Parts: sequence; structure tokens; C-alpha cells
Amino acid sequence: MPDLTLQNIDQVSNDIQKEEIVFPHLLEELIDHICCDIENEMQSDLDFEEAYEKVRLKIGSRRLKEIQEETLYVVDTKYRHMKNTMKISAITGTVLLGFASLFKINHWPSAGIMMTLGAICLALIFLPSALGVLWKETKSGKRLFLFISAFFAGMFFILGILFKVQHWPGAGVMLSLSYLSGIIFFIPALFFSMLKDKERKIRRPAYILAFTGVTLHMLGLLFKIQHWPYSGLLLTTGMTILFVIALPLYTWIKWKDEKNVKAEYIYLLIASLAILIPSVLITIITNQ
Amino acid sequence: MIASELLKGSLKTIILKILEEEGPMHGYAITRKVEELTGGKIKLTYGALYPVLHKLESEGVLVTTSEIYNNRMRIYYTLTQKGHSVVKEKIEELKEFIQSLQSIIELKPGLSYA
Repeated sequence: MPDLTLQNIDQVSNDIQKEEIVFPHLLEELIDHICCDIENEMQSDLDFEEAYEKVRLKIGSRRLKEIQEETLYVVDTKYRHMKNTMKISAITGTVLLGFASLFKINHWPSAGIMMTLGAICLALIFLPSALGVLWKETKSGKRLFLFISAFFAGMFFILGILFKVQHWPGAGVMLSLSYLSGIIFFIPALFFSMLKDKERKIRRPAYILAFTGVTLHMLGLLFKIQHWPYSGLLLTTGMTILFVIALPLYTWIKWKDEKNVKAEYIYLLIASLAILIPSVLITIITNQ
Repeated sequence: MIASELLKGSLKTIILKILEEEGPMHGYAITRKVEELTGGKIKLTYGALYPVLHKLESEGVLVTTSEIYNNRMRIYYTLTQKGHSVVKEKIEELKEFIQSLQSIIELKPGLSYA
């Protein structure tokens, strides 16, 4: 059987680490197993690159990360508890909020309690457990900042909306904190992590436009809540850049690049709606 | 190829039995052995093999040792004392399952009315 060179093994090892395999025991095993598979393929007169490509196709993209998640799930009790808590709290919180809106619209009793429980469930149980799960899965110091800033922005946002709807004091402060942590920490952290992706250099103009749009839009929302002037201008400019320029540009670049629509793009569209709908709601609430 | 849904419940037993027969083995060797024994009908994927191996290790059924092989780390799995008794139980369980399945599959039409 042909042996792989040290350079070949390094290449395999780097590629696996790029897929965020952080569980050391599993990492070593996957490197060895993939190397064995490559050596086996090389027996039928393929060179390293061809054999490696064949093995990669056989494994499938993102599969290694899934194997790590499945392995962590069966081995690490803490991870299993966090993941289960995350799933249960996400469903409970969303269902409670859904019922709360239904009850609120129909003026039935207990809408307030359900909304409070739902929001607490999402902000204080779902978000912390999701943060724990992400940390266990990636163990990436560089991305920890991104996760923590997303956590705070999300937590303040949910609690802020709850306080606003319930007319409790402090809603404005929380929403402002949410937008500030979003503008100052989360958006720039996300922006830099996406710009670092060297394989997708072609998408940079779209990313830069998108982040300008989101930042202006969030500043607009913050100004709106605080009743400062020019919020309308900021919101209009942000929305225009985001949905009239950045999104179509991104769609075009992606279409040129891949020629098909992936699930990732559908998620992006749903995320766009997730930005639009709360913004419209807040605009309506603060206008009243 | 045997469908993975059929394989799922007996995967642990297959791995344990092979380790009992062959002694310490690494992941790749286990997949090769299974393929060889079944004439390629059972192919263990990475995703099927490693979560099960790690689960068995965390349950104390298997232990691992490692050594450097061709500039990379190779991890070998061996049955523990507890593992040997688990294999026996699991094989009995699987045999019983196969027999039960057989009695269903080989049911002759009309026989139950005789």
C-alpha cells in the first residue's frame, strides 16, 4: 500500500481542523481513517489529489462536523443536557409566544403571563444553552466574542420587546442596549469573520454593502426608540442598501458562483424577514 | 448493500464481536474487516462507526491505546473485562432476534389454520 508523505497528512489534518473538529480523540481517528482510505484508493493508480477528492466525495461535505456532534452527544453528558435544554426551551418559548400573540389578539386572559414565560424561556434558558452548545462544538476563541455578543444582543432584544409590550419600565434601555451591543460588537465581529473567508473573496462587495445596510438600519431603530431625529432617514437608507442593493447583488454573485439555490440562501431570506418584521412592529409601536 | 436502518440496532454487537475475535483494532481496520466478512454487503460509514465506538468507550466496554503509525496517531480499541461479558449478552440477544425474525419471515401461508 502506498504511504502518504508528511505533507499529505498535514493537508488532511488541516482540512479536518478547518471543519472545526475540536474533540482531540476523534480528530486523530478521522485523520488516520481518511489517510487509510486515501492510501487504499491510491492502490488503483490514482495520485494523492485524485484519491483525496474521491474520499472527500464519499464522506460528503459537513459530514465530519455532524459526526463530531453525534459523538459529543453520546459521550459528553453536559453537552447532551445543554443540547436537550436548547431544543426544549426553543420549542417551549416559541409555542408560548405564539399562543400569547393569539390570546392577545383575541383579548383572552393570560396572554401576558404566556408572553412573559415565553420570553424568559428564550432569553434566559434557550440563549445561554445555545451559547454553551456552540462553544462545545467549536472551542474557537476567535469566535467566542461573536457568540457572546450575539447572546447579549439577542437577550436584551427579547427582554426589551417583552418589557415594551407589557409596558414595564426599562424597555427602552434594554432595546437600546440590544441595538448598541449589536452595532458595536456583534455586527463588526460577524463582518470580520466573514471577510476572513478567503475562498469567498468574490462576495466581499456584497458583504460590505450588507453590513453597512444592517448597521444603518439598526442605528435607525435605536434613534427611533430614543425619539432622536433622522431615524426615518437612517432606516430608509439602511433598508434600501440592504434589500435593494446588497441582497440582489449577493444573489447575483452567488448564482454566478454556484448555479443553484442552496438551503443556506433560503435561511438568508428567512433571516431577512426576521429583521424586517420586528423592525416594522417596533416602528408601529413607537409611532403609537 | 444492507440498509442502514436494518443495521442500526445490531451495529454495537457487530463491532464488539469483531473486537473479541480479532483483538485490538483501529477504526479503519474494523470497517475493512466487516466488509471482508460480509462480502461488501455491510459498509460501515464514518458516521455510523465513531459515535458507537466512543459510546462503548465511555460505557467502559472498550479502552483505547494509541501509537504513532506512518507519521500519524493511530487509536486502537480493545475489549475490557466488562466488554467480554457484554459481547456474550449482546450476541445472545441478537441470535434471539434473528430466530424471531426467521419464524416470522418463514411463516407458511395457511399454516396457522391447520
